[in-house]
Amino acid sequence: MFDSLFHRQSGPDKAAQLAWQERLRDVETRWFAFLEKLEDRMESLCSAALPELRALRRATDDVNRRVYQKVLSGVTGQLQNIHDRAYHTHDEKVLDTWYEFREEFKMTHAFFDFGHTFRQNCEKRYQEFEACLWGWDKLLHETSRENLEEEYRRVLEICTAGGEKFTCKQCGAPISIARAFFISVNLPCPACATQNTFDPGSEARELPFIARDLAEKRVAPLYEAYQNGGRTPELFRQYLRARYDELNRMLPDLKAHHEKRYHNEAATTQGDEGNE
Amino acid sequence: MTENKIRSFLDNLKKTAETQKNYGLYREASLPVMDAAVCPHCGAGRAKADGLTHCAYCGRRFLAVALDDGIYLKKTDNSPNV
Repeated sequence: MFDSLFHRQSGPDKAAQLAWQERLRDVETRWFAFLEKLEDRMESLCSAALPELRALRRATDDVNRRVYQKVLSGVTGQLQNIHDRAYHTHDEKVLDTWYEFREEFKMTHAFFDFGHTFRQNCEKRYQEFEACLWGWDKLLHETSRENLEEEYRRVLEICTAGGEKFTCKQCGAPISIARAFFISVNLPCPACATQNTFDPGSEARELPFIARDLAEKRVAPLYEAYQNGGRTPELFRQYLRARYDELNRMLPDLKAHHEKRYHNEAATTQGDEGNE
Repeated sequence: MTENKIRSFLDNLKKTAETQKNYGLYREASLPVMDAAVCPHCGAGRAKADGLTHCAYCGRRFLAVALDDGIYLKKTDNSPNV
């Protein structure tokens, strides 16, 4: 009478166990092979796409970089497809098999462990696949930030009009562009005091956006330190301050605006919530 | 996907991206330029000391709005006594 209480429950017989063993091994092998195939596909797709994206990003004829953005989202869309395929296959093949197995062998059954190992192996392999996928995704998106330093220097040159000489429209006296302007600005003629409007051109308007990304990139080690150092408010404040100091250095004209943003962000962002 | 398939996929993607019609605003690339607004009535330019919203000589209105504090323009750049 107490046998069923103190001993592992009896379940399907040996033959059924063997059949299950065969089936689980088969599913596992197929699942591993499937993920490997998807990983190969991802690798060949992304390694071909990366140089293309870098070249498109460098092209300066498209101010808004629309072609680059479209190609990027096309490629990441492919990655998303691969991700979805893996997800659904995991659902249909691996999990369904596992649920079926679990129905038949209760946790107390001696053969249960075999199924459990199968489940864990498949799960681990799936996680490895996902890590690989997000790694590629990150690399693809990184292409927009790779040459920020170079881009910043180039646009800064444009903002000062590359040392080009401009003259007053009223009296013809030369007007020098003293520093980098990224929006239209009124400059007085040193001879007749007439206000001349200097428009630094379309690319100069990108400067604040490049500076914002570049500041984030330059203080990335501090953000990492914050994430690895227990995400304390103090470390976050250090990171934030460094980021806005960097911005102030790059765009001194926007200092008042930056300080306002710093105080807003410092007041509303809790240390443990992190950035963005 | 084989090498060729990927190549043609990327080429198609690029071609579509280049030829696709864009909606919304499009900024044309422009070069740095210097220009001055001159009063169409009397031909005078504007000087910061006299205020920027009205012509200091004939009083013609350049700007319908009053200037507010911005990055470069300040409230003090409004023409006085208008």
